[in-house]
Amino acid sequence: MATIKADEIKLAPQNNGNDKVNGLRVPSAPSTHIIKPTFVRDSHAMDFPWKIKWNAETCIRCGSCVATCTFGAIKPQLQRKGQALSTGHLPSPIEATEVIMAIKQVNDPKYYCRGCEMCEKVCPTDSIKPVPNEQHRFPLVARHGGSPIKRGGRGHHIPIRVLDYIKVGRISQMTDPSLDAARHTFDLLTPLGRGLPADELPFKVENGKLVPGGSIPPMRWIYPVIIGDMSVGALSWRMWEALALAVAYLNEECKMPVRMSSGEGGMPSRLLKSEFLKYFIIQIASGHFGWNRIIKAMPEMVTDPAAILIKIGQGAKPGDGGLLPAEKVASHIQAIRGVPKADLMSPPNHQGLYSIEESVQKMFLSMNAAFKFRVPVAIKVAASSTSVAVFNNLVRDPYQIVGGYFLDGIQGGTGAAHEVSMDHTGHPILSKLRDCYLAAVDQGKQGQIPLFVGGGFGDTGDLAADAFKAICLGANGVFSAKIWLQLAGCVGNEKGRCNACNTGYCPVGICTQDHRLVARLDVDAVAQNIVDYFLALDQELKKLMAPIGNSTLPIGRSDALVSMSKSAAERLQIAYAC
Amino acid sequence: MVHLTTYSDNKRKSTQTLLQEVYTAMQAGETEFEIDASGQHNIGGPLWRTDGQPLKFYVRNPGQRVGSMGMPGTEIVVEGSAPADVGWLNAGATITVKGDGGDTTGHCAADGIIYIGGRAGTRTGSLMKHDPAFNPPQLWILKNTGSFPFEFMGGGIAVVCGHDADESASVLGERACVGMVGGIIYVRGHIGKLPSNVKLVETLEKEDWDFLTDGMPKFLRAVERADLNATMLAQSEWRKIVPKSYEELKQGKRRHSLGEFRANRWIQGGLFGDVVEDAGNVIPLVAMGKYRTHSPVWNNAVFAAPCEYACPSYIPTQDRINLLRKGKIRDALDLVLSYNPFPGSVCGAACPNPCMTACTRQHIDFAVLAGPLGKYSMDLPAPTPDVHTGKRFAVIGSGVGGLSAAWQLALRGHTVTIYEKENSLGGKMAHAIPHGRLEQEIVQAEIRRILSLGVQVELGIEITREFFQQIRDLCDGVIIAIGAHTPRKIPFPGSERTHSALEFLTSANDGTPVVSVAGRSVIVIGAGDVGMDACATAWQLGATSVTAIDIQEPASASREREAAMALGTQVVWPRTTLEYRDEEIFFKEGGSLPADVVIVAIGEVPDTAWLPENFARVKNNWLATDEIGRTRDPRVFAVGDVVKPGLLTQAIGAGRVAALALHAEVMGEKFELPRKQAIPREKLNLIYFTPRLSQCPTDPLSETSRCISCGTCRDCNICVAICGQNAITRYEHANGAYEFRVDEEHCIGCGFCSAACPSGIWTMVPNLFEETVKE
Repeated sequence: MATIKADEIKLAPQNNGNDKVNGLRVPSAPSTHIIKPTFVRDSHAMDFPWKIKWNAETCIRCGSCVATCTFGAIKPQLQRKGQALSTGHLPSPIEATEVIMAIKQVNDPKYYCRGCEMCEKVCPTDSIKPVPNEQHRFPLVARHGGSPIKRGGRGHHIPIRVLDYIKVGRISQMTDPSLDAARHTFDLLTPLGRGLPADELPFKVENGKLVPGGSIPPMRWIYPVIIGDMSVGALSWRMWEALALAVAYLNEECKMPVRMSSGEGGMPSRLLKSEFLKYFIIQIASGHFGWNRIIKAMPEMVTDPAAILIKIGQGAKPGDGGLLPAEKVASHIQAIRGVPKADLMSPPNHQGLYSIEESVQKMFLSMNAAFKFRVPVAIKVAASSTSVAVFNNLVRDPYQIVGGYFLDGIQGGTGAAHEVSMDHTGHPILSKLRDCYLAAVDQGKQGQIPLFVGGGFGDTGDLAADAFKAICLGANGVFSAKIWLQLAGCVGNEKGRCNACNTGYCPVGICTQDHRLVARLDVDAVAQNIVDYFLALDQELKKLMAPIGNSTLPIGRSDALVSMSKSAAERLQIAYAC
Repeated sequence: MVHLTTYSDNKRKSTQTLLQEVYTAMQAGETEFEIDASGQHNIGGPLWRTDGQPLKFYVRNPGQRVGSMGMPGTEIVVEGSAPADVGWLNAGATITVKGDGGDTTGHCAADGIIYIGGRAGTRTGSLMKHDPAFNPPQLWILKNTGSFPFEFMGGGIAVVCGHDADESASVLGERACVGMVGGIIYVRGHIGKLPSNVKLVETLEKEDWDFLTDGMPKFLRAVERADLNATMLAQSEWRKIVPKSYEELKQGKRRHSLGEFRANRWIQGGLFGDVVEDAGNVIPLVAMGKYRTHSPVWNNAVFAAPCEYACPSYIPTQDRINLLRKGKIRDALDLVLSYNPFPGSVCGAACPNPCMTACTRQHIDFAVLAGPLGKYSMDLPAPTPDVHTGKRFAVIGSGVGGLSAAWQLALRGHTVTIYEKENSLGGKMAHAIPHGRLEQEIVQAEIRRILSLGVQVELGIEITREFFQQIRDLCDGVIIAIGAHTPRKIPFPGSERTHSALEFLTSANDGTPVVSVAGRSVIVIGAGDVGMDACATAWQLGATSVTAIDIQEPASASREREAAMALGTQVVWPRTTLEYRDEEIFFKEGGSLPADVVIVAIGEVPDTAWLPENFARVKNNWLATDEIGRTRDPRVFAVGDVVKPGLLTQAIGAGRVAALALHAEVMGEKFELPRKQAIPREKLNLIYFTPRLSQCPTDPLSETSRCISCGTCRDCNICVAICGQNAITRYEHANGAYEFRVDEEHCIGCGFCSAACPSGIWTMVPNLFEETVKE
């Protein structure tokens, strides 16, 4: 019979009495409410692209910064200040602690600071601001949960802007004297629509006079700077309306035939039925959003739209369809688009199109037929190594229904995309523009299908110069989008500031459908800024046309340009200068 | 008159040679020249005589810039035509070209008169100016001009007579007057489009006509077309072009403002007016009212304090402390009685106090003395019910569960009768818990307090199925709280010689132990709370050794175990008993222990055989109820160990819930189980509270300074103080209740109140916009 040995006797976990004071249990772990334990695994503001700098001395604790931040990136948090001190000649401790309110950056990658600087803007004492954190580790902490990084705005990893290496280097002086930009009359209009060579124009001679002898493809003469496609949905209703208002004003009051593309989110019915429709290009993309309302409105249309734009691809995220995050699919977006609240992902391609030829036959034909062949139909594709092949196919256009080729480069923007697409896919625009133009020239068909280019034009704020250079390289015009948002107060830039267009928390009310944020946007002020910019741009374009002696658009006048980059000069077939 | 030729020896003179011949002749006193030129430039100026005598030039076939920089007193007459720049920078000469003038005729002329008897070329009259110290320049043209005339003209008078011009074409060519800012152009005949910087005046003023009628005959005489005098003086055929004044230009540039355009031309109600409701107001970045992104909510007592949440009787200790804090000591002590009629014997003595185990304060230093606080309520009298409902209830069993139910029902004015099988009240609390651990005077005093409400008691009543049916029929509701009293047994060999812990403890409490343990070794099978009580009692009765065994890690709460261990009890596990033989107990795991006495403490099961069959049971014994204690009969509830073995406080809580539910049922009220969520620790701001590890609390009535008041406002007014907008106000109601309110129209939603609230009351919530869906 075995007996139990002492070491087999296990004691139940217990308090042995030493951890008690006066019979009361003391905390089993050190008190953690003053020093919060920090672990290596914890994320921290040091990991984020922006760090909040806050000055406790000057802060008046008004709360404005926290109230304004839409990203939840800062929070008020109590802070213990001071410690036990000694006064006099002996160690005689006194308690001298106080608890004060502090503004702290939130250390959660979900609520990282976007650097929008609204806190700084509203701070009455300049006590807070985000500062860029070059040493950040954000790409390493932002993929928690196995989810790719998504954002809006523009790419961050585009190393150079070739446009800035190109200058207008051929200035007329003693010969073919330059024009006076301020006082001469300039013709800045550019065609949108299928141009026919003289020998294909269906004219005939009757009674000694030339008269049309058949149908001529529709053509609009428009301003060479188009407001690029930003959808109802990507933009707040106020932003979209401000753009539309500016366009109408520029046409009606300033006599500048500026056109605006609707983007792929449909059009407001009221605009479809208004006299202003003629200033708008209606887009159709792979999602076909909003087209039900567009078609339904046809019997009530009092005028034709400026054009139809078939969107195949987008420069910021080629190969990707449109993306409207559910956060932005508010009730009016649901109505216009005809979908419930959900992430709205357009397919990467039009689902009924399988080849370039088919797209010409089917999509161009359908869209031409939609408006009874009265409205030019153009196509927008992302710049790509294959752009020229596509363009050449369109140039053949035996049906005379291809009204324009819109080529969108890598420096374009987007409302929402995977960061990896935005930063690493796409093609710079200038070489493809040049290739397409020269391909048409080789065939003697330049100008038959107007070339419009976009993607980063106006990124430095000087859209006239960018547009002018593109035109000299062969573009009929440019389309640009981000710059109009920046004129509205968008603080996003190419250096990674904000670009939170996908979140629904746009701090300036541009890329959100949240009433509380949209109310921050002043439609009149935005429209005025855009109008003013266009008026100035108009002067600036003339200021560039005059020195080269052109009173009409210098389309393809690449002799006017010099490149300070030898490789760019070679690639674009323009003069190198240093 | 000197006659100059420009050919000699069949060789043309250069401009320089010709002009130097002129200079030489002038020095010789000549004032009149007849020049047979061959394209020499700059004939006629700038030349002057110091004696002021006029100079006259009769020129044929001049080159460019005839009369350029011509001075006052110089008269130049060109037979036939002249090429470009006639009168360039004319400073006062009278220049007559009987034929056509070339391009840029009169270019930059600022004084003098130029007569052109035919047409003038492109850019004629461009940049003419008028210096107010001198006469305005005049440029008369009989026929028409080429394109771009009068560009940037800044002053002077031009007259374009439109004679012999194509009726359909503009007498000013294309794009006249670009940039013209000054001067007057009188014109006769068709003109094309004019730029916006000038205006066409259809009717001439008197001074205009005076000028023309005065000048026209001289002009026509000069160009030898006096025959046209009458034709040219038909006033109605003349118009004039003048630049808009600086003010007019500014006026002309003024378009409708964007605001005007939007108000008058734009789509009324906005592009999206049919799908979005938008008042159109623009808010600042720091917004108030409905445009804040977040708004604070005063979530007072929405969450339970951890003590309240942990207490099976739901006692809100934070409320007691808050009353103490306000000096309402009696109210604080009374409050507990509405949850538990045994604050002295349970909270203050027998209960393991889960409230204190859960207390937030222990994470700073020590738990708030919630248990000891109960003792201060033990001598308080019962409240007096203010109504008598006439409803009758029966409570079967007088343990804490039954007494708790009876107390709650009686407090609500119901008539309650307790039926007890034994001859005294109190159940296990009175009989099974060692009296050394629970003073019976307190228990009995608190039972008397319950009875003082008029609760009737029937002792020694063995309930039968028939009697139960009678009670059920007679009463408005029945609460079964008979507890569990049948010891569970393990059928190992020798088990018939073991004793149940319940018997052992009850008999020891009565002073007549069922078995003598003095001087003997004791094994207690089952190391739970009751087992530990048995161990401690065995020591007290003189056992030489006491060992508790268990088949698993014991679940006993620390208080009972600490008492037993302090006396020398050993706890051994895992041990599964195989046999009890020869005063030795053998285990499946091997080994044995000496055991003079074996006490089995593995629980009891209730005896519910007497209840009707239709009462559902768990494992044939325990009554099945829903979460509020209701059996299948909605008027019959069951609480305490008859439902599930548990702590005293669990039976008290269950008795209260059952009583409240029955009360609601018979009174036709709605009953909801009052169960809040525990407040998450991170909502609290503990940073205010300094640890006081060196000052162990001893006085429950002084815990006001240590209690956080988790989830319930402690009325510190920090929120009022910290709000930069002064948007928070404390409102006190007539009954003394208070609340903190937010002035939504001043609040910016910064969250300072929430961040500063020690108790986690203020909560920031998204300030959801009331969106009206259209269509």
